[in-house]
Order: sequence, then structure tokens, then C-alpha cells
Amino acid sequence: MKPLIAVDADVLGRRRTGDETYAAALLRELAPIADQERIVAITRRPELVPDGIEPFELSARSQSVRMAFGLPRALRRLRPALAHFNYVVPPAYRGPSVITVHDLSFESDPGLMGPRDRFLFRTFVPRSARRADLVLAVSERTKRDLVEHYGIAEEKIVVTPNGVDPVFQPNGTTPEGPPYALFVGGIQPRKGPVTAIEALALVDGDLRLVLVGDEKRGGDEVRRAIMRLGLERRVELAGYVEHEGLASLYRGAACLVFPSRYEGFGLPVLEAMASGTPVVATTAGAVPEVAGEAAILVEPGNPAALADGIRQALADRERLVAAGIEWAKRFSWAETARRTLAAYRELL
Amino acid sequence: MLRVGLDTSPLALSKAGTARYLTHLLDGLEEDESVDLRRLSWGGDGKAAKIVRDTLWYPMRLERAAGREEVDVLHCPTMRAPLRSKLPLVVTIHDVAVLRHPETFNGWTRRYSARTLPRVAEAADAIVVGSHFSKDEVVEVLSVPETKVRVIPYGVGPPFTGQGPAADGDYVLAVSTLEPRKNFDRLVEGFLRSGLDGLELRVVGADGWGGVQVEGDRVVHLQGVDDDELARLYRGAVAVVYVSLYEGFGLPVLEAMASGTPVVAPAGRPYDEYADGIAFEVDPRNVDSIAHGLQRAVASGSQPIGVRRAADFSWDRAVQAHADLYRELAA
Repeated sequence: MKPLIAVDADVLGRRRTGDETYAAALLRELAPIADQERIVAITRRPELVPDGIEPFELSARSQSVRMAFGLPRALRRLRPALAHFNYVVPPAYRGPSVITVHDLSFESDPGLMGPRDRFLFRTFVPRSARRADLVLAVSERTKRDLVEHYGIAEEKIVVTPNGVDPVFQPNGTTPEGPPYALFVGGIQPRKGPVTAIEALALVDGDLRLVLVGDEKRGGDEVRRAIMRLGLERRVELAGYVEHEGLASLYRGAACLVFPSRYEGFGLPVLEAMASGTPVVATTAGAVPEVAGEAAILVEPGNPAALADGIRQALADRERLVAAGIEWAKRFSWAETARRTLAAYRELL
Repeated sequence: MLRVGLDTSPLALSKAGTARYLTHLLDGLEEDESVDLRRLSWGGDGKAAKIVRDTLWYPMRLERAAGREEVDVLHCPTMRAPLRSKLPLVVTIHDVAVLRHPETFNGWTRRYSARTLPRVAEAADAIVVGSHFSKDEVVEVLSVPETKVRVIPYGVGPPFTGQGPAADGDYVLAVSTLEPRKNFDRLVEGFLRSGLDGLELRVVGADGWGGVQVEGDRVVHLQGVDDDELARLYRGAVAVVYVSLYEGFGLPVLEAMASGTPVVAPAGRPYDEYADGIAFEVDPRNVDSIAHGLQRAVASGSQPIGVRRAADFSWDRAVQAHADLYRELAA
């Protein structure tokens, strides 16, 4: 009988941008290659589980209750040979486990997360990383953070870089209409939306700014900044946008602005590049490793530097577009899945 | 006790992978107390000796020598072997590159192999190959029944381990004999195109033939490197690159894995049998693809999964599988 692998896919359908993209793409790309194992996705949204992966429905009203009771109970029923979690191994689960750690932003920069979440992460993530048989890190930066903050042995950490979805690609047209810079990410301090708005105020002309992403702990601050700078006509809060809509927003943008203060990976950087859009990002976290030399990188938290970067990106568009398309080619979810499956197979 | 005759003449030749295989097989069988090992060989590494050995000793003398030693099984660890044999005969075929890509071999090997290899395959009672890919190739190219072919993957072991001293410097490492099949032109071009300006390319490999040279800015050819030094080079490398155009196994890829070093290798067979999800896959005929693979490998850090996976491929296991096969044929 084929060994059973249970993947905790609770993020599916929860608009968790990077983490959700990761889970959906990983399952999709694992399905065709995991021919020697059965994979079950534990999720509250079974209809979002791709073909070839067995859905296991587990509703969850509270994340803590789910981790403490619901998930361990589901795992006792499934009795998997291996379970794969995001960040946290449920304390009551005793079997072999793999976790994926996307970033340790809550360690590197304490102000970037609410105190309650931060307390929970700091309690459970280090324990889980020590408990897990293997830790998948989405970047070398996250791997370094795991070693430095938690003393996790390097031999236990496998770097499985994220990929980029084929839906993000240029369609040969040049953007029309009034030019806009695009911001993609949760509207929260860590992503630096206010820096993006302040930079826009420093860029002359008719450039607009479109912010895509759910408002988290930064919505009010963003609105205040827009009013303070009188940019109501030049800034648009577009809210959360699904994949296809996002793809055409990327294609139409004059550039991506990614003023993040910390990233474990920074998926929008690659998505923009793959779409043929110049990228202005920061040197924070894993961004330099993900952006290579195909983006303009500036210091985080510095609106003047970001504004300079935007001007450069607009002036040097052609080179950045070509370099970005080329660079993004080396990241694929199929590769992520192959490396992840190799890690699973080490433990089976 | 099982008496095994093993042809050790190939030790005189400098084919890197074959020599490694044979050395481990000899050491392992010497230690196996249920096996009485008899070494059979003739002549040295001179060109004349080689021709006499190939045309007279293998076809006519080797089996007689084995008969005098009263061996139960005769094993020829390269494709050179008797063309008929009354004794149970095991032949290892490392690959059928010489039939698939004859242009990448020198004239003597090419002509000799084309004539003898099909007959050797016919005469053998069992053919050992290092990968399922090679098995399929042998079955297809030499038209032998599948049941005759045994897959015994190669191994890796000390000094090629993740822990230990590492060579100094910032470099990418390539390990292969300098011959046309190893694709050095594209390898060097890919390296130069990768924009990894701070790195040099160190090439370890004996001179082969075909006028293959490795040269260029930041390209260094190291000769006379022993295994301990090679192990240090593997460990100290930022990445290992291996882009041979045809291989039955590709041992340097496994050795790089065992050293925990990121490795660039061609996509697909035979590498996916042991390096799937570990190697950075490239198309070896495409220079840009090689350059990209190198950039990806260099950007990645140490490869713990490679070390773990390589641990499944010990030489002890390989030697044991050979001994089992000998016993089966002798019975």
C-alpha cells in the first residue's frame, strides 16, 4: 500500500496571499509526481483541493482550537506515515512531521506583528522546528534565520524556494491609460504601504498608486497618510484581488513597488517580473536573493530612496523588463514540489 | 566457499568512474569471508599492451586463466570480456555510450566495441548495470532479454562525506575526464555566461582524447588530484556542475550530493533515479540553461537532503548485491 502523507492545507481559500499561493501550488504540482504515495489535504475548503490529492474536510472556527483538538483528531483518524504543516506541528501529534517556515518576521522585527500573534508564533514555531524531522525554508534567508534564532541544525533544513504561477506572464501589449505603480501585499506595517504612499508624493507627474491586498493592521494608518499628503486622487485601495485579476494588474503597471521591511521570500517580486513589469523593492530579508540583479533595490523605510527607485525603474523600463522575465524563469512550483517530494521521501 | 575470478586489468586504465567501481568491489570482496577472490589480469597500460589484451587476452586467454584457477564465476567489470564462456560469466556494462554516440569515442574503442559488445552481451549469463536507464539501454541496443540484466546502483562513501576539511577559495567544481562526451565547451561557456564573476571554475579530470582542453579566464585545470583532495574540493565548492551528454550513472553527481554541495546535472535519466528533487536540472545542450542552473545552484546553500539520500548508496550494499549475484549463478 502507498504511504499516506497528510498536508495541512487550512490556508486554502483564506486569502493568505503568499502562504495560500504556496499551499495551492504545492498540492497542484505534487499531484502528478507523487506516484508512490497518497496525499491528503486537510482543509476547510475541499472544493479547492486539486485533482489527484484527496481532500479531508476539517472546519475551523478558531485557529487555536483547530490546532489543539481538531487537527490532532483528524490525524489520528488518517494515521499518515508523514504529516506536513505550515509553521506549527500540533503539540498532540506524535508522528513524523515536516514543517514549512515562510518567514521569521516575528523574530527579526518585533513591531511587525500584533502582540498576541507574535506570542503564539514565538511559543510554537521554535518548538515545532525542533520537533519536526525536516524543516522546509522558502529561502536561504529563512534558513539562516532558523539557524540563528532557534539554533536549528542546518542538516535539518531544506530550502525549497517558491515558484511563480504561469498565469503571470506578459501578453505582448504595453500598458495603456494613466500609468500606475502597483503595491501587492497585505495592508500591514511590515509591507510598508505608507512608505509607498510617501514615495508617490515625491514623484512628480500623473503616476498613480494602486494598493492590492486585504487591509490588516494597517488600513487606518494608510488612509491617514493618503489624506495627510492629499493624494486621494492618486491612490486607490483595491482590496483583495484574485489571481487572474492580479495578473492583468501586474501587466498594466508601470512598476511594482515592494517597500517591505522584512520578507521570507517576497512572491510579488517574481510575479511582477514574470509579468514583464519592472520591480522596485527593498534590500530587506530574502528580497535580494529572490530579486537577483533584475530589480532596483533600495533601503527599507526610506520614501526618498523609493521615489528615486521608481524614477529609475520608469526610465530603465526596457532593461528591467527583459532581465526580470529572464530571472523569473528559474523559479517554478514544479521545482518546489520536486524538492518537497524528495524531502518527504527521505522520511518515508 | 565461492571462488570468484575478477578481471583487474582495467585498474591500469584511468577511467575515473570504472576504476572507483572496481576498487570498491575488490576491497569489499576481499573482506567478504564467504568469497575466495582471484585477481586475473594481463599487461600494463601501454597502447600496445592494450591492443594485445583486447584482441587476444579477453577473447581467448581470460576464460582459460579463470578455468585454471577453478573459479565458480568469472566477472569482467568492464565491457571487455570473453566472447564465449563455459564458466558462468558476469559482465558489467557501465553504459552503451560507445554504441549510442560513437562519435564521442576514439577510433579503436569505437570499432572494437561495435564488433565485440553484442557478442559479449550474448555470452554473459548476467549483465550488471548501474541504473534502470542503463538497463533499458542495454536491452534496447544489445537486444538482450531483460531478465539477464541486473541493476546494481553505484555507491559513494568516505572520503566523500558532508563533514571534513574543505578546499579554500570560491569556485565551481567540474569533475570528469577531458573527453568530448563530457561537454566541456558548453560547460565553460555556461560558466562564463552565468555572470558569477567572483568565482573560478576548477576542473578535475585526467586528460582524455579528442583535443579537449579547458581554458579561459578564471578556469583552472587540476591534475593528479587524489581522492582525499577531491573530497576537500567537493566540500569546499560553491556548486558542482556535471553536464555530460550521455552517462550510464554519473558518479560525480552522487559524490557531490554526499558532500552536501549543490549540484547541477542534466534533467531526466539516469540522474532522476538518485538525484531527483536534489540536483539543479539543466538541458546540457543549452548553454543558457547551464548558466541558469549554475546561478540557481550557487544561490542555494548546503544540501542536507543530498547527504541523506546519498547514504542509501553505500558501496557495501553494492558489493553485497554482486556477491549475491555470483552465488546465484554458481548454484
